[in-house]
Amino acid sequence: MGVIVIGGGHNGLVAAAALARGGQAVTLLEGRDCFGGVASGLLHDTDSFSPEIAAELDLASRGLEFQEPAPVFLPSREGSGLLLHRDPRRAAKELGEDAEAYTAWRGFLERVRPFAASQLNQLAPDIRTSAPLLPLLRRGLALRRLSKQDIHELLRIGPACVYDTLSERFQNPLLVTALSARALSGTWMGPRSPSSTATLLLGEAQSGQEVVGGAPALVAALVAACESAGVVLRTCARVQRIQVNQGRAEGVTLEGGEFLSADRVLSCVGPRRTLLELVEPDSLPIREAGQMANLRLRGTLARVCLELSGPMVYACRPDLQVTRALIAEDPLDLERAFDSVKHRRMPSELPLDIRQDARGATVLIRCATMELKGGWTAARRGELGELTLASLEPFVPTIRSIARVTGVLTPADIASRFDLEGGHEMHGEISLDQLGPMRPSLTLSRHTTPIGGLYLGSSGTHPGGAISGRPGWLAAGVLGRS
Amino acid sequence: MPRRTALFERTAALMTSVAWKEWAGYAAPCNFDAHSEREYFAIRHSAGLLDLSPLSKYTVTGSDAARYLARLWTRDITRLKPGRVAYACLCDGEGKLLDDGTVACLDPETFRVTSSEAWLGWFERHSRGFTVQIEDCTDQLAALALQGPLSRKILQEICGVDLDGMRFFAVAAGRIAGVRGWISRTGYTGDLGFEIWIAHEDALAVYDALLVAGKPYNLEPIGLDALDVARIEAGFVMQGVDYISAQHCLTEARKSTPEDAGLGWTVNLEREGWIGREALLRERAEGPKWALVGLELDWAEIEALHSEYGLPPHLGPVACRNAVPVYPGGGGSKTPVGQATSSTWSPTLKSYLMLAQVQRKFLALGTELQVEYTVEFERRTITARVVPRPFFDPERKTFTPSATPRKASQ
Ligand SMILES: Cc1cc2nc3c(=O)[nH]c(=O)nc-3n(C[C@H](O)[C@H](O)[C@H](O)COP(=O)(O)OP(=O)(O)OC[C@H]3O[C@@H](n4cnc5c(N)ncnc54)[C@H](O)[C@@H]3O)c2cc1C
Repeated sequence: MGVIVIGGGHNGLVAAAALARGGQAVTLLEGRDCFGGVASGLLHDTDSFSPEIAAELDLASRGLEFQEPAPVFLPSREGSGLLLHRDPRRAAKELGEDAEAYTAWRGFLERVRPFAASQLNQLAPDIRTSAPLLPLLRRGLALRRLSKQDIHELLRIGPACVYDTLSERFQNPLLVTALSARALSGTWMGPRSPSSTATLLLGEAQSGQEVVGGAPALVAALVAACESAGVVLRTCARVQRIQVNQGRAEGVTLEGGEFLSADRVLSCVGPRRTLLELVEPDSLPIREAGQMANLRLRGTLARVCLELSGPMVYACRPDLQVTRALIAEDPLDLERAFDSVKHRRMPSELPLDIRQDARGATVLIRCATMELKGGWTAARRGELGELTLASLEPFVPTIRSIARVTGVLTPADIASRFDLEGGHEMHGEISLDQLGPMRPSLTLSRHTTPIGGLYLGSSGTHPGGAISGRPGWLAAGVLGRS
Repeated sequence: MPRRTALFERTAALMTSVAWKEWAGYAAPCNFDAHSEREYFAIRHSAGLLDLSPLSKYTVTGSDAARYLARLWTRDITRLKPGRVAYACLCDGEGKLLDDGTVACLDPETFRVTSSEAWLGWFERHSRGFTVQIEDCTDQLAALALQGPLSRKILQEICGVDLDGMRFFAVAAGRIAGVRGWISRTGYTGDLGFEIWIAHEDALAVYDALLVAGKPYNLEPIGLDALDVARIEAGFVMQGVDYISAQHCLTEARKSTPEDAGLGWTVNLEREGWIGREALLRERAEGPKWALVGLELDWAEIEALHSEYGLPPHLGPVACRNAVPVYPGGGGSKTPVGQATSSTWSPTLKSYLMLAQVQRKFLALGTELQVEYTVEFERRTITARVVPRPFFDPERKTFTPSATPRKASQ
């Protein structure tokens, strides 16, 4: 019998390893032919991965190492761009007149981090119990450890938009752009959308050191941890149905008909897919069915791969070799890009998020809407490749002679390639009403479901998106204690 | 402004009164003369013909149709056989009544649903994941109720379906006055009766054919006033009167579960996966709070009370839908233990009847209660006794003259 974990994304791997190390008999079922889910095969930032989880799962012994994250380069048409290090001491020289404000900002984030991290590392507060204030008060105490000034600042900027929060601190639009871009991943917002500062703070609280070797190294270490803990790992095992009997999950049926029984099932695929597609519609109370039908998960991501025959030379800084770059000169470029998302249009100028090495570059376009008017056709796919080169050209004049577009994934392609509902990489947008006790919904945020023995643990559950491992870890904890 | 049904021009011409009321957005006759007495007696002694078209009607088709309907309705529609009709409740997620209605199985993948109110939004919202199509056919499908002891004879004259062999709560397709449609042995009068379902454009022809065929039998067109008296005698609750649909209630206390409204018999709690079950399981564990009872008022007390004011007893001309409080028997307590929601003088039973929702400790037959009764603007009380419901339950309602042995029960 034992536990079945559905979905071998990084959260599924974390959960399976944790459960097996806790003594459970675990089978991990992945639909695709490889593990890692969204985190497989793409060049990703891994600086959100929880160091505590890495330690608990002893990933160091599987070869996992952390390092300071690489700086991000923002080229400009005039001037010499900005190479931004997270560490204010290293960033100071580049930042010039913003250096002091940047140091202060980082200082503020460091002071807020313990409070934010404590929210991320434990279950979402249960605000439905008879004494809902108690758990909230206890969490409030963590806030009390901040100074009055910091609390006021947190309350003042939290609901504001990042554009305002950052513009009142910094002069250099490149700096504001770099910090804003980070706040917006996984959201359906522009820098001028209210409450985007809150998601910025959340992202900053999660970020730390990055994994040496990136996401592939992380996935390999997690798979190794699963293997050594005795997890039965299966790929090409796509779950079609979670079997429910008398209100309890009792196993899964794979595409192809194979039935696997289990005492408990932990789904590390999106909560909406889990409850609305994998479970028979008459097994779920209408409250949760309604909540899931209303969950927002509108994808905005496209990816373009470039093969490089020579080094990518940024005209404003020809001698610089970087691994990470962001093409956008002003935060309002990001806002205009979001306008095209909002209006379901093809974006015209693309802000680009680039990871590169000597051989190639992976370019993320974060303003390509899944809901494009007229849909994503082959012609549109071609356009994305061309737009990418055109957007790079002002900064890398030689781009057309050194780069060849080898692959374009439109949001629709990403949705089908990574088996993502709505094309949303975090199985639910990041927004204040879909976070904490509301992720993915009020009655599902503590990883249990109305179906006995069925648990939820993908990035669609608390504490949310990115490659952090926390949703899988927390869900495994709940299941393990049950 | 209410809309016109397919029969508006005919019913309007037949009416000597102008007694219209709005029924689910349509204009419906209350009575055809100054008083509904003739129509009422037609229902009980010959037959009455009612335009039922305002009823909300849906056609549900698809390979999951039965499973889908079983999720929404309290009865297990997956076990409903073709040619059978089930009366059932619609509950919200908290097990509170939204509506009641019928589900007819026309073939294993085609069902006809009726309800008092329009529910297309609710039906569609909860159809996710099921292979079903739901079509609102309220406007396309006209409906007639032919009710009364002679209804079978009249209908048989113009239709080919063998009505003698048609069981209670059966439905069959067939021709009526040359027109294709369906006949079901259902109704809201507690008498022998049929309901006829035909296309909007055929409705007038069928109505006219029935009036002609019914003439020798004293068939009467009837309106809602006569129907209301008949349905109270039959002990049927009415949505919006005897219980309030949960979606219209402003307070929790106003909502009713099926058990509260006397419809607990339509609920099978052992069956899984239907909307409201979890809440109703909790209700069963905690014990339901309310029961629907039939009350009969003490006539001698009514007479005596009126004579205190120097008046003869006065009976309203129609059934009354004003809820009045119910108190424990003996008259000591001034704290209501329930409310009577429908009341009428029964011309057949010659007694004053009420449907009431009371606390469950008062549901036993013979229990004496006090109900509020107003004479000359003064609120007094009258003794009422809990009596069996239906109040009026003739054998002909369910009797099948030439029944073939029954294979499976409904
Ligand atoms: C292009 C792109 C760039 C990104 N960049 C970053 C970044 O830089 N930094 C960052 O932190 N985050 C980034 N993200 C987001 C991050 O990768 C995801 O949020 C995270 O990996 C989600 O992990 P997960 O385990 O919750 O879900 P997933 O990775 O989606 O895992 C779910 C798994 O379940 C499998 N599955 C689905 N259905 C079934 C089924 N029926 N049966 C069996 N298996 C099934 C899928 O194949 C998949 O392997 C990015 C996402 C994308 C798409």
